Amino acid sequence: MNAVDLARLQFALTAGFHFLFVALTLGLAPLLCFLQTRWVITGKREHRAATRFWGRLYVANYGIGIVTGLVMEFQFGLNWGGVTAYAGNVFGAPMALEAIVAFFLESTFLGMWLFGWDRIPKWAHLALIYLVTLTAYASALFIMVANGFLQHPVGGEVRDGVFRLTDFGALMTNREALDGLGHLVAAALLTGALFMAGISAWHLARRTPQREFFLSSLRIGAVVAPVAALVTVAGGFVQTDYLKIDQPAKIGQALEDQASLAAAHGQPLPPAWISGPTQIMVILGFLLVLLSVYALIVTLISRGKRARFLLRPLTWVIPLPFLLTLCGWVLREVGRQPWTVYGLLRTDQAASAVHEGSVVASFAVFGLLLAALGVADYLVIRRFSRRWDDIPELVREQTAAPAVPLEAGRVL
Amino acid sequence: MAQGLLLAAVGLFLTGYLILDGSAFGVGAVRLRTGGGETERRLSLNAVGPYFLGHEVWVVAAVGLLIGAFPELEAAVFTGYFPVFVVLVGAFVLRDGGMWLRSRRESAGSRRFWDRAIAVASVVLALSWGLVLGNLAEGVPSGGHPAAAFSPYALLCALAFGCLVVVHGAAFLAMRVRGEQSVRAAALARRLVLPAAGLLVLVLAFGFLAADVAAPVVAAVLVALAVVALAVAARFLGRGVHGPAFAATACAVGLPVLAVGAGQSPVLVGLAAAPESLAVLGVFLACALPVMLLGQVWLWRAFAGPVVPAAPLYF
Repeated sequence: MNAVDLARLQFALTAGFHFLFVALTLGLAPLLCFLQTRWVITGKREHRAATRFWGRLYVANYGIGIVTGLVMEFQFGLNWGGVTAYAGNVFGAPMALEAIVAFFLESTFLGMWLFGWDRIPKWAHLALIYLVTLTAYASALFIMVANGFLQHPVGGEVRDGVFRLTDFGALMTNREALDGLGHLVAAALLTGALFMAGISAWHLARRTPQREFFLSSLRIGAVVAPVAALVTVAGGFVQTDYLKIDQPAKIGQALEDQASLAAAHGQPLPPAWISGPTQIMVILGFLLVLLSVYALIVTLISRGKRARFLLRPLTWVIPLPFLLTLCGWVLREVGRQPWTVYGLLRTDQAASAVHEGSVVASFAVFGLLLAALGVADYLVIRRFSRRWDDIPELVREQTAAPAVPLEAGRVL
Repeated sequence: MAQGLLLAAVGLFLTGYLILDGSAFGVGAVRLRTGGGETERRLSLNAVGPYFLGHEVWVVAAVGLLIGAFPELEAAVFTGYFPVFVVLVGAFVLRDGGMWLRSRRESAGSRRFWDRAIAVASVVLALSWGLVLGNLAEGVPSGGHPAAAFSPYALLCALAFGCLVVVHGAAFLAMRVRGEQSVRAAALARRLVLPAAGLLVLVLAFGFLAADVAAPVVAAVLVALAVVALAVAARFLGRGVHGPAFAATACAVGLPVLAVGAGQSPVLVGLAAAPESLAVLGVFLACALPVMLLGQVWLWRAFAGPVVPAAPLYF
């Protein structure tokens, strides 16, 4: 394995790891908007409790997600200097816009939302979660525009060996970017909805005293999931059609499609093993449509009473959408190989000229740190999802904000 | 023209980052010396609390705009100082992990572990940003050996910047907490003002010998002003006026960053992206910047005043 392979593996692991957090962030944010709007309008204690319960899971997920994103941002410069040298004029623009238009505001507002309970006026606090959601989705748009450019370089031309921006509109409306975004957002909503349904089902299956509370969350997840699952699958098919023209080598290898392989004759091919993750993705896609419909039916018929064995499987489903999106990314990114900018810049040309030793050292440092934080954060999320007795609104019968004991520690 | 404005914007984000998140590094470095009890430890973390996300994200804006507007500079700096950035990003990850995870478990052992991790990571962050600044002061790297990033002058800059950040963090803590803990933080800041000023004077003196600065006079004046700001901070700290003291230490941290940028600006503007790309970025930035700054002002105003044990705490 040489320095380029190592840099690729490092980026793949960081990006894949990052995306686990992204999927849940994008999936939960709109659900949180709904929960908090419901609370602000009705003023009911249990609705405030729901916003708190799911909100702290959102925050626990976001905090480590931002760290993995930062490591990626630095890796562009550290390991992939060739991309910026060749296509920095075009690729850099959406990256920069993501940072200043979206990410910056998202973080500012989320920090305020987290600490703003009972400090910032109710309506302004509600506005904050909408702003967080809006900027999170703007972020996804700009990142997909940057990625869409790598898949299908539009919006510019090559002059003196460097790609230059000529048409910003074409860059932003690249179908590789926008269709990819739709596909990904649907998958993220599916992730968030099944996360909510699965955790609620866990509590209901254990005969929680908070039955109404978790039934309400289960319903939200079970209604959103089938719609999101169908849109995810449809989004995949939409892309397959034109990818046969834009990237026949990818489709040829992924679907073992002879017609596309013939169309890609003479072009370099991505590795044949991408058909594996592709099959897993397709099977999981259909399976999740069925499981989402199952979740909806169970929710409608059971009312969470004597259906414990029917509810149990919903909890086991939680990891599947994460696996689904990872397989999708492997298809999209490995399927683009050996190109970094499709048809223009090969991956070995995109790598920085740094010592192999440096790449190994950075791999070890980031790999160990991120893996350790990932495990620690998983434990926090698991703990937050299993406990409701530390949500003051669920424990006490008063609507006013209870005085918070300092040592409680888990109050927000 | 466009290059100059966008360079100024990158400079604004980087300076803003080092002033704002720098106060969090500083708090991380000194907090265990301002009170040993669990209450004090939680208060010091939550003094940073509401600002933490909104402040650390300034670095994302700085690097993002650097990728978009100065791709060549970005590639040169990141590959040129590769080992420094690996350490820096590693420390960043550890510090953030510590912030998010430390108070999630009751176990005293786990909290002690994360307390130390935050302290070490914060010090390393401050020193490695100092190292980056020192290297930039010596000129944009041109593909030398990675070990070149550890020149004596860069190391001196790292030490000076680290010391400045610690003073700054202690002043921030003095402003954000009350009572005994505030007094201890202010005393700590005052004790470190003199070493920080001394190191800055050395940076200034050796700067003329070691560094290849394109605009030396501007740079020297800015660093000298940072020394003055430290003296002003010491006076305010002595009188127990913590708000103005923090403003002064903020200047002391920000001015050397501006000095590096101003000193190298003639070289840096030459590494900008093509004009079409700069135009797009400029238009978006002109729209986004007021919103970004308004958001920050809202953040500062909404959480003004010292943090108290009754306030909602997360960290």
